[in-house]
Amino acid sequence: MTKLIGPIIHSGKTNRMMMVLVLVSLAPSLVAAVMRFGFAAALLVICALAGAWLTELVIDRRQAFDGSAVVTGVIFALLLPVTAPWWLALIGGMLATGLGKHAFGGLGCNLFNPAALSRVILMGLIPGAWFISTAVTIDGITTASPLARESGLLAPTITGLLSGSIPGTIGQVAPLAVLAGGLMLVSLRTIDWRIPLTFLATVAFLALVLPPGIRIEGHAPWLLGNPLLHLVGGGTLLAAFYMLSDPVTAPFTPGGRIIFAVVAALAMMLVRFYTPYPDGAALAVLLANASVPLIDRLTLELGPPPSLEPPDNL
Amino acid sequence: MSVPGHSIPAEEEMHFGRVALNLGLVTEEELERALGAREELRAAGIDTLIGDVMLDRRLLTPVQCEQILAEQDRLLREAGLLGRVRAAPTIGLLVAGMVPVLSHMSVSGVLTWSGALLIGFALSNRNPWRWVGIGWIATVIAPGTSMASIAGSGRLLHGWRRPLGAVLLGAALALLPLPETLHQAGPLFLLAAVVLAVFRKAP
Amino acid sequence: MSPTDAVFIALLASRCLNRPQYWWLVVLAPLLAYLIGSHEPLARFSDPLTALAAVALAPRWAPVGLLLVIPEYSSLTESIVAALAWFLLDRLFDTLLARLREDAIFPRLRGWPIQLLVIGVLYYTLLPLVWL
Repeated sequence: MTKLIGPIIHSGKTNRMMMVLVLVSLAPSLVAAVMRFGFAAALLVICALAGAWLTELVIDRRQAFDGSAVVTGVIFALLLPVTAPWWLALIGGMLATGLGKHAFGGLGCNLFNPAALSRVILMGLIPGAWFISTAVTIDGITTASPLARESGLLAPTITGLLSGSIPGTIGQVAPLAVLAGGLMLVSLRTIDWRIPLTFLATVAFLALVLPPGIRIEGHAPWLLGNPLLHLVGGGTLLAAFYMLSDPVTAPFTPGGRIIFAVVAALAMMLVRFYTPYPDGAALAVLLANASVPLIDRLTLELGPPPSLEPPDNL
Repeated sequence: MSVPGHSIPAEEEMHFGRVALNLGLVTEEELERALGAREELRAAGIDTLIGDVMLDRRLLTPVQCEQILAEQDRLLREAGLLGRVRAAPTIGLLVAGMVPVLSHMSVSGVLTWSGALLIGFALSNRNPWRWVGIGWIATVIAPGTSMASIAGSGRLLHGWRRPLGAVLLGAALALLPLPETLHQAGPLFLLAAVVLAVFRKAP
Repeated sequence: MSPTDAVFIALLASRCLNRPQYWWLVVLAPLLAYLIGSHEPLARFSDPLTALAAVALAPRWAPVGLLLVIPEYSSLTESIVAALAWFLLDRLFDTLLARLREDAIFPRLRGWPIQLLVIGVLYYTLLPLVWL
């Protein structure tokens, strides 16, 4: 049996260098979130970051300075609604690093994206902490996702989503900043372009062709036939550029990565269209991560032998 | 080198470098050099795997690397450190103990389930047909009890302590005023993982 | 017991039993449970008949079959989906375990604890799909 484990072929980029690039690319989103929501967003980012980094420091002091825990903490913070309590950010950061990464053996050995895993488990264990009334205002209002069907809000507009005036998670206030950061990572070959491109294209296609379910018709009819809304709303862009593109939890072959992105897009759109769960990006990331060994087996056994050259994103 | 009294190799025999050495793919001197290089990299803040170092220094080819990983995989499997571990009695106890709370059994249901499990265990050993019979008798005595939950739980247990453990766990989970979250399988699995990790013998 | 919980607890039970040759026959258990339960003349005997059928499918894997028939399936589709979900999860879980680097995992988490963690994560990941 061939055992495929995380990074074997070296690209010349160190983990620290890659993490610094990811953090630089996330900086515009963070600045936009703090400008939009003020101290509340800053507090959540600091708490998530502190939770993730301190956990890393306690578990493995050597890895604590490679930047991976900081990236995990920041991505988790971007998945939080600004109304979330500070302790949720702290626990989430701790859970992402402790359970999502180190329980599986540390950097390079995790099966699931740590930030997505932490979000999904905390949403299952303490759902009340995620869905606080939309009437709460700090410097703006926010809910778990603008695509949330039970939020009682009016239909979001593309202009509203792009300008950050529609409630959402911290990372959703500036989709253009996320997009710019993601494109920067693609241009620097820090991430494989195939994953975000296939994911976003599949999301757009499915938004056009999926028939409405009973859960969408009465609650959020604006979600039908509106691909742009699905692309800039919810956690789509964050998932495309920052969670699915994680080389550790993505398939090994280029073909596998395309299948992986399609699986993730399909899962996310099914959750958005036919379940009462808001968004579904984090769930889709985990589902796609779980299918990686199967995809690898399929593509390695049926496809051409993999190249020994480093993949694009390494 | 093997652990005295065991046929399985000691854990250091399963390390990548040692496997490479045992397969004759590297010499002891080459391994020492690679380990030294890795330490230097680590001191410089670059955490890397020994396999990466050997590949970088062309001490191994990618094909040899795969060969070592396959051998390492085999050794770990033989030692029960990888993949499925069969006939695990503690997991049987955990699964059986979770059945009452997940089935939302009433107090009388839990009592019937516990009684059937203990009495049934004394009579049935591990024969599944006998467990179905015991479940049937229990449903006749206490209608509304699920036969499948009795037979399914009972057949998973063996030894005299585990049925008792399963009954205590099942009663505790089903009857104590625990948060509603713990009435689902997912959180129970996560909790069980934490408890098992905390209370297992220190390696 | 909800069908989702039954699927996941049967998945865990299947990890602690040796796999007989025809283990996959257990996949028919939820379907048989629904068919027997919905057949009016058998109503009085549905519980014992379902249990007997679950054991008969694979006696050495009786606990898995019995755990899968604990829920009351409300429709044929539900029973088929539960059976397929269990089967696919079983296969998926095998591939995930093969990917785990147990030598890198903390010694206290190796073996069962990490397997329980993975099943827990899969539970939360797949829970929303129950609505489909």
